[in-house]
Amino acid sequence: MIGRAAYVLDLHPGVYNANFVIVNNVNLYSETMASADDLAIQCSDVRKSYGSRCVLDGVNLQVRYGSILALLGRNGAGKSTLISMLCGLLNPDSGSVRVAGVALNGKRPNALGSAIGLAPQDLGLYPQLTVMQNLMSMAMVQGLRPRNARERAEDLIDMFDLGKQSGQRAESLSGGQKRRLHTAMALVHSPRVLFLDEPTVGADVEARSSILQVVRGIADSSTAVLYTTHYMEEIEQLGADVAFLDGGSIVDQGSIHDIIKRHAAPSICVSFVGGLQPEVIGWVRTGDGLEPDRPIDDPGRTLAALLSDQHCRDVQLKDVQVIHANLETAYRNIVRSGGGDSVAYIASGNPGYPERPEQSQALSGISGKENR
Amino acid sequence: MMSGRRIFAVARLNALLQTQEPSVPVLMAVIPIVLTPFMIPGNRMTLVAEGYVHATGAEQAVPGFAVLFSFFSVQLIVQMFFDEQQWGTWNRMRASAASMSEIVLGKVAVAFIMQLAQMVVVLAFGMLLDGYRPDGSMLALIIVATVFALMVAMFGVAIAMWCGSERTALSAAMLGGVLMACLGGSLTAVSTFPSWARPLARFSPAYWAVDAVKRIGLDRAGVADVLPQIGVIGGFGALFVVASIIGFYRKSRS
Repeated sequence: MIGRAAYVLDLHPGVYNANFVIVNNVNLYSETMASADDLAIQCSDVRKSYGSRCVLDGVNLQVRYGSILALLGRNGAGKSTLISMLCGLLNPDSGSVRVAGVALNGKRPNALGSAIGLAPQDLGLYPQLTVMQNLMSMAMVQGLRPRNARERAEDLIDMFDLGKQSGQRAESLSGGQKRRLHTAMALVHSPRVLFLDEPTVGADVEARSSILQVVRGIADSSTAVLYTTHYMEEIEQLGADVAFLDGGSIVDQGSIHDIIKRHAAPSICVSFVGGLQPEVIGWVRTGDGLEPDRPIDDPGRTLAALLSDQHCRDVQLKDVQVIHANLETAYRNIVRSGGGDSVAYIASGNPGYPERPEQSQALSGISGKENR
Repeated sequence: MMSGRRIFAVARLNALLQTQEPSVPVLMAVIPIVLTPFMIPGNRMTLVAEGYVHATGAEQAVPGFAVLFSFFSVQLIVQMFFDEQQWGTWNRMRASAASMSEIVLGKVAVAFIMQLAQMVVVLAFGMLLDGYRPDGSMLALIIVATVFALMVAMFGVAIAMWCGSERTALSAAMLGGVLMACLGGSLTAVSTFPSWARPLARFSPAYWAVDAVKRIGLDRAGVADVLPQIGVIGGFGALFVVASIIGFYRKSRS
């Protein structure tokens, strides 16, 4: 297990820390030991259609207490629909759903509400109430007595660094502060299962960092977190497990390491002075440079092999770019393969590894504009 | 099982929200107080023509405006439901430990208190400023006002449960309220209606409320004398409760 986590560290220098290794090992351990009691969310063959449009087509999902599952998918993939269903706000057409030990069979038991916390994608605040009033009111609706509600609200205000704004109306908060308050309101009753639907959209760096820190801490205290986002770096920071929702079903699920291993590979792009591109077996021309025509394991060894090729001996090296395999690359490969089937990914002959750096950059730019 | 603590929490939250923006409820109480003196002379002539020779006109104008503006303020009840959707808090509430019944009951409680408070203020200022002196039972007046306020609150909830959008709900509340209030004789006495229109007034709960308050004000009526009127107003309230429950389940399913 330690070796597995260490391998991830090799792939992502600087991203993971020791804490991740420990947490990941705990998760991996509980993965093998998971029983029905360990599972915070169990959803089996869940289907949902709106008219003729099938949104969820046999979703199977399991989330353990104390873990974070990042649910990824394109806009409109059905992530919010699935979350609404898991919170009992929507009924599935078929399939079974069990959250925090409560079976949802067309009815929404009261016990579910006290076990779950929901921060929907759109902000949900009472604009004319202060930060303290928002938190206290929601805590009391969740069943806390006024004194406990106040104490809990004060804790959350500290946790989310909203102390200076506690007497300020929600409508006058900045975007990031609103986002923090919105997330805090989902935590007023210390839920055992937390649903965060894109909690950092529109949040500044500070707010995002604050939210991620709290989410990690909550998961460490045995709460299960289902988290949706379009920001891959957040998932890496959280050390979350990942599930990809595409075409109405979960096409792959696993640890970050497993997902990257299955769906992405490192690559390199080598260019030469004068734009001269030699013909080398196993390499393809891509714009200004050469790239391997298949996934590689070791960029250094691959580069050494290229430079030792007879066709490269007389040309001068201009630039070498090492492209690390990461979650974003894996995500794009899964989306591109239209279902994330790792067999299809290899058999199609599509290398599936990252686009050329400029392509990669361009895609990130588009994604950034849409989502940030 | 329903929890009184959660119903109270929802009611407390909604009351807090109302107190943050008190301008509309205040206006709903102030405007009838301001307008009543303008209606008193005309109402006096009508009442005298009905045989109440000592009437001041306040016996019709004050309760009439109290009833009319009660219906106007139904929009505040409707907004209590639709504002939550606009603020994005509706799904948060629905996902909370509070059941839909608890959420609705908490809102109904606040709607009822708002209605009752408005009616009490309008009647009290009518007594202070316009010489409204009901010579019947005060207890009867309180019961009529309470049952009527509850009925109007349930009318607002029924509208909120049946309408899909805020705009539709506000229009329905306004038009339905004005129709019931005017048909019931809250603006001008039913005796001034054309003969064919008078029987229609009985289909409005406002008619029974105005009739009860007028009897208390002019005929020294006690609780027993206005029990039929109270019963009919309560019946309308029960109808709106049923409509609300059906609308509630219809909405929950969709």
